[in-house]
Amino acid sequence: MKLYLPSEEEVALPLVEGVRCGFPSPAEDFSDMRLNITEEIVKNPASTFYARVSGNSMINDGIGDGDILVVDKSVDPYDGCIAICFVDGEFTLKHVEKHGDHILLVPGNKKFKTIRVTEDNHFTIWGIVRYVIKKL
Amino acid sequence: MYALADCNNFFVSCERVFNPGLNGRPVIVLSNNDGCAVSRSNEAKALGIKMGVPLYQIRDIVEKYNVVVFSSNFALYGDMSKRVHLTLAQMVPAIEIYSIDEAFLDLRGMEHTDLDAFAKRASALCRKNTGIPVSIGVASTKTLAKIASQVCKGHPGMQGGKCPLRISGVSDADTPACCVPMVCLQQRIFSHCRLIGYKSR
Repeated sequence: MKLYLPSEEEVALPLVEGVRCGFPSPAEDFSDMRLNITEEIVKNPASTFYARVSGNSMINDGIGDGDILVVDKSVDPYDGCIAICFVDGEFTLKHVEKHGDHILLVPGNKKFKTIRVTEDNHFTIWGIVRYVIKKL
Repeated sequence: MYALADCNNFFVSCERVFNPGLNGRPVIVLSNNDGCAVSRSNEAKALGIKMGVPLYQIRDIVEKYNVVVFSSNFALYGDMSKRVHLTLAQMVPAIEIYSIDEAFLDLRGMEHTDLDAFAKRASALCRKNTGIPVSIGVASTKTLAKIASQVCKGHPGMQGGKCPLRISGVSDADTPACCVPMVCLQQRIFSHCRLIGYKSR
């Protein structure tokens, strides 16, 4: 897994100064009919990162080797979410399932093992996957 | 009221976001051309590595304690800085970006908000959005807010956004004595302040 910062020109990050300004134009809805892919997939520019997948452990979820993930750190983890996790020194992409006193990191590929995470593990959820970009 | 939001060990914290395995280890980031240590993790500070020390003077410490050494990556730090500032800007009426890792927040109009709770919330949101730990001091002036954030950093229990400090009862007369060393004045000005009777701690 390799993590990337979105390139700035494409993301068009809002200017910090702009946050203060007030009433939006009523004509704004009609000003631009084009669709900007970046705007579509980056809901929160402050917390969104890209990652390129290596390996096929999530292939049954439609996530394969070389695909690009749009990852949002601001999203709260929910049961079954697909997340980039950091477990005992390594990044891994898995479903996160909560089970009482432990967490299961479940792959989307039967050839791979489920990882059981308890209090003894060093574990953090780095970010939640929001979109997958793949070439067909 | 003003707040100063100051990212803890900013360059090191940026590197750690993308390599969480570095948490708990001594890490330093070097200046351009790998000259001097310009950002140090708390573990590196505890080894006695001073701000700005040339790398060749600490070679033995680096080897002995397995200190992780990074060349600076300003494209990364600039991007992470924007993310922190953007997160903060969404929470307050106005923000003044003071440096790559610091911003003053103008809290005018928020007098009736619980500012301690606000500071904790702001710090926690920066951490969540970006992974960067941010200390926030709240006070009646910018100078005092800066001091509050520095005091906050000096107390491990307060780090990581757990307990930002609010200074509200410090009088003007008290200010010079504690702000002189803390607000990073140049050494000469510092000596001059001593001459004219301001105390340092």
